[in-house]
Amino acid sequence: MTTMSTQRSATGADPAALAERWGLQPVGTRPPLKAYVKEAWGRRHFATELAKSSVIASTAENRLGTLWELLNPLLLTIVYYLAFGLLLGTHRDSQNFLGFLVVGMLSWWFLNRSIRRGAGSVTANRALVRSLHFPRIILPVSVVLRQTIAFFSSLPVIIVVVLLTGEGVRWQWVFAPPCLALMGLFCSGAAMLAAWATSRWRDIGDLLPFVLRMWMYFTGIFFNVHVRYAHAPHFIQVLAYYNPGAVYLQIMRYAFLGSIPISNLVLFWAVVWAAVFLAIGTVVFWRAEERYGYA
Amino acid sequence: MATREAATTLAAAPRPGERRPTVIVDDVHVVYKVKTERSRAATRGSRLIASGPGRMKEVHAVRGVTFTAYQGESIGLMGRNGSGKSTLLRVVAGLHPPTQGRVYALGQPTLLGVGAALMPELSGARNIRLGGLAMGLSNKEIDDLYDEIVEFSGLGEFIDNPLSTYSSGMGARLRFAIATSRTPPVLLVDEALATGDAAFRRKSEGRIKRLREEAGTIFVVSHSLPSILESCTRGIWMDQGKILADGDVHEVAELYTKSAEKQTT
Repeated sequence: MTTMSTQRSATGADPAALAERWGLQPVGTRPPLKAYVKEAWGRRHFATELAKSSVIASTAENRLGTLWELLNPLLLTIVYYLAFGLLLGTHRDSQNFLGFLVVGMLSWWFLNRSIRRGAGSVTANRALVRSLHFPRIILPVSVVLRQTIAFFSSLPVIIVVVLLTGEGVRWQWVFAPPCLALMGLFCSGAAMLAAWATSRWRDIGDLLPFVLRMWMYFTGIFFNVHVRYAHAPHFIQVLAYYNPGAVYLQIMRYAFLGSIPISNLVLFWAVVWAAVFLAIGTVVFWRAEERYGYA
Repeated sequence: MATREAATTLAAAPRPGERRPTVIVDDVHVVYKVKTERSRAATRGSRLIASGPGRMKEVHAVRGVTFTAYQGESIGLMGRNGSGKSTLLRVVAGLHPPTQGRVYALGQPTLLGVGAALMPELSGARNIRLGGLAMGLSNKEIDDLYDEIVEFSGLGEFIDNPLSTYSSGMGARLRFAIATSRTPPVLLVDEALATGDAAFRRKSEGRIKRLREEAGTIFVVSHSLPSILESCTRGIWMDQGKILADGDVHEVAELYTKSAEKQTT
């Protein structure tokens, strides 16, 4: 093959036909949704390893390591206890305000961290995305897996606090695992949406913390929405009681605290939010699959 | 049917026997948009920040590249910085979608390199697992390859220490050992193949030779002409996103060298 060619060395035949004849596949094209999800499932061990590795890597960074994953929300809990509970008097909203705050804060931490870290999961792993081929959806999912591992380490703290603050061992504890699972699915969907949006408009990454903070204040981490919004307009009540953050927090609190009731409507929305966000998140993220290389 | 197709396809480039194409690059263009585009978020913000109209800058990195690579070929891509050869490599790897045109390939072409997947805080052993999974190996395959990877990297007991404590040579050896632990049908190599000290370089050259024999087709992008001449059978010279010459590696290299000399004088 010593012929020199300038410009197109024309293949003559239709390249697509030639490719088909020799069993070559188009490269860099997005697979159909079903095949994509299947491929991602096939790479699930990569997602879990990525999550485990980043937990271990964070222990190496500073002396207390992963403990900060737990200390952070607990220290915030103390701040909120003093600032809102005592200073502004929201402790009256709940019979066991400390338990109410700890369960709410640790659950919110999971949600908040999943979405914020999920948002940066594609842009932060730019080098990885640009050098290896794998379904990119693994990145936001592994962030949520990582936060799930962290949440498990906070479960003993929740149990100790609720027992010390006068709650008993309740059969309702069984609500916690399925609620965590639904919250994880919701967070995966939200993390996919956030990652997609951030890779498209970087400003989203700067905006997101404020949106999440607004959401947190509205949802009642340190006050009981059912008390505070008792006389609010109906649409405010609906938003405050049934937004995704509120329903998962409500179930978690119901699982651990005797004074928190639950309604079928809350359970209904917990399932609906998880399904809707996961479905929309997957489709939206998948549709931009081949573009994450630019990010 | 097959003979008619063969007649038309083989007419363009006559060759002895029938060779199996592994990569078909069909009129590929890549246009980067380096832009401060007025997206919806930006327009909303611009009322506050009073940013000017979005500027758009287009970089036409690859301009209509067409070629077919065959089983058993190792192809060296030559060209100056910014000639589009690395971009082309990433398009073939499916990591960057072409703006226009198509690429067909046998299996999933794989860029040799795993460095981006590794975490410096983790031990070499953990990184073998993480890197292997990132490359698409199964846990079982990693278990089977593990000893060989450690052996080849020559890290010995250091394998349980964090990557961040390794010397740059040790890190390079581990990355190379992981990246080359498996042979894909189409392998893409961007720069710096053999790293480390002389002994390791000799060892890794041996492995690259083996990869070349096992892989269907290898693409190499390198600034080092000697390494291309040594390891490639076919050369493609790119300039400003276009193929200037495509053929026997020695002839293409000669053309490329002559042109480079002309530019410096």
